[in-house]
Amino acid sequence: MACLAIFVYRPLLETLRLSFYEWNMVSPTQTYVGWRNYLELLENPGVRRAVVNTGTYALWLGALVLVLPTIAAIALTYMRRWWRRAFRVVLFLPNIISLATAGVIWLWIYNPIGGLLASVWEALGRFPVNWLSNPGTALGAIAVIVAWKAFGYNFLLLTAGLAGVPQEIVEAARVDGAEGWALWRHILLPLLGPTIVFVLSATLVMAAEYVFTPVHMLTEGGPINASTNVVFEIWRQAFRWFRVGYSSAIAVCVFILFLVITTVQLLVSERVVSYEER
Amino acid sequence: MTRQRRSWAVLGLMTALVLCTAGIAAAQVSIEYWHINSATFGGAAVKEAVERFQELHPDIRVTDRFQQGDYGGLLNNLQAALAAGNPPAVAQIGYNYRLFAFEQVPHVPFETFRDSDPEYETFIASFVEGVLGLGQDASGVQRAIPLAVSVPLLYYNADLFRQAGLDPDNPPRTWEEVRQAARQIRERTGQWGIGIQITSANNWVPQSMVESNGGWLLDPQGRVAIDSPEVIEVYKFWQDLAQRDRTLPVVTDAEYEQAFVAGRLGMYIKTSAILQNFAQQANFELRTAPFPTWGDKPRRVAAGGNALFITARDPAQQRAAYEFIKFLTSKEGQTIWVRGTGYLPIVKGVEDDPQYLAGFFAENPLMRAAVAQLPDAVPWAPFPGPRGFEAETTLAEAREAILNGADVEATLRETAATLRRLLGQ
Repeated sequence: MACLAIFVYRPLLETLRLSFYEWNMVSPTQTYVGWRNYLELLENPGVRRAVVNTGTYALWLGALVLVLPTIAAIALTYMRRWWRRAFRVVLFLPNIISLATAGVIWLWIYNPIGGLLASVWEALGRFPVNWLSNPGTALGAIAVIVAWKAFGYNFLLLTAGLAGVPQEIVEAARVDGAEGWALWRHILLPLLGPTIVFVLSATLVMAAEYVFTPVHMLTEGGPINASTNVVFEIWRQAFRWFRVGYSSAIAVCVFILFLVITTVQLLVSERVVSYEER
Repeated sequence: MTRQRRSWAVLGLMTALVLCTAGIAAAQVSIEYWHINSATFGGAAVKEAVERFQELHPDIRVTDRFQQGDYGGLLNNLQAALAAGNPPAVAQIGYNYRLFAFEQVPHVPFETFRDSDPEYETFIASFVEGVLGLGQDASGVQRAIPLAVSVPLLYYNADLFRQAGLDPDNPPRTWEEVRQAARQIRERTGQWGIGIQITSANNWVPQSMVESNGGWLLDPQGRVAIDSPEVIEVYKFWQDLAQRDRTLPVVTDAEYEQAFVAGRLGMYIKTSAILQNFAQQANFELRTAPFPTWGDKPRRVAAGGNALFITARDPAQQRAAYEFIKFLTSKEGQTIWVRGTGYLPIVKGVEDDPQYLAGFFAENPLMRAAVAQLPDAVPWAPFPGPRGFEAETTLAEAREAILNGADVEATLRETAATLRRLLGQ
């Protein structure tokens, strides 16, 4: 409890206080500026871009780390036991690789000059794409790295969720004539509901945490702010540009935003869980 | 009786010993040196210099501490240490952060020791002309001492040159020749022609390109000048390499590095500080040439690198820090440093003295192109004021937009307006 107070709540309050000041981290003077940092936040196009990007990124990630692992988990149920085990190991592997290492691996994959994807592209007779330096692709490229890293964990959770579905229910449904898609649509997926909600909320939290390293390592938020996001923006304002007060103001707003999202999530997941118990 | 006397003697001896060591400990000063030299970026040279310094000054103990995250990371950690009241005695500050450090980082100006050191003037006079300005503020106070100076170089792959029918003994001297060579490499070998070092944190290479063309990013009065014809011409040329000629790939700097080392990029404009690293990694014939010029206009290269600041609080530590800095920038200190990195020697007479670097330069012809450019070095212009760093990134973003095909003149005009607002002009 004391640790929590010192390492979580005190910095939280300190951030709130600093958001009303202008300070460069070394100067002994911290100038009180009232709501100015917050007002500037409203009209700063860079921050707006960061918020929009974060939303886009979350959508990308939602699709990549929820839909794909679910499909993979379902596909696995149709496999023989040996193959099932082998795939489980292979698909989980990226999860234990550190993000910094993953960054270097993906740098090589994405490199338009002699990288893995470029070789494939060239073999198909097409001009290589500059994944990380093209404003249209940079954000997606970052999302793919995070998704690749998170895939295994979500996949494992979903596989476990599927294994946890009571066989009696499935058998009963089969007896009633439910086969293939109908079985999935009406029995398995609804029973997987709680797991999916959990995976979704875990992914959102993880997405915010994981995204910094690849952005910092590979694109520095560029090109032209195309791959920046709120977490990177907070860091950049404070530790690259030494605007601690302004950075704190962004942090406070992001904190409130996440609080709202988490509350909504909690309410939604409670509904789904009660659905299961009914 | 004798036994008692003997024990007294032993006790006395021990007491004397304890007092002696205590005396030495009291006379010995411990200082910390913060640097960005990782194992693959000159770390061994730092260790060697520290050991040699301690041999010469047994009364001073130096602990060197590597700081992650380049100059920005070091400055962040320094800020934290200063806030905690526990700063190192000596810190490397990148030249792009020097104005910020002069004003905002508590330090003891180097010239404070002018009156207490009879060797001061001789020491100051030992530097190559112009270099010391990198450690002086606007009013000429010598606040820090430059340690490292690097300049941008033209690295090229001699094997690719030959394949493309170019003469590696006669590398391009002007940007127009660079452009032709890049085209020829692209057409005849299928590999990319040229890469130019980029980062979103600063505009080091662009400054050299622009000032060589007679323009300024910030003019000598500090006014934003990126919408002048000379600057527009440079960025237009750069865009043409990427969009019209398709000889310059629009990728990140890390990707340029990978590609160049892998032999898939013919030429690469990049800091000389990475020379030793490239020389070890490249499995083709690596060569270097001076930074290209615009026609007959004089070459201007921004000096990259860092200066040493005394950040100790305790007077004894400050004095020890002063001595340590003097050693690192002495002929002997510079010999260790230059050999282990790719930085240029900044004190007079080391490169052709057989006692120091003459042998090294004879064996490493790659360094010659870098040293030849030292007279063309100009200060790396940091963007001033509390929002200077943000302004630097804004300009780097304009470059990103331009390389991706945005209209050069409109982008630079728009960016100039933003920079003027950020810099309060």
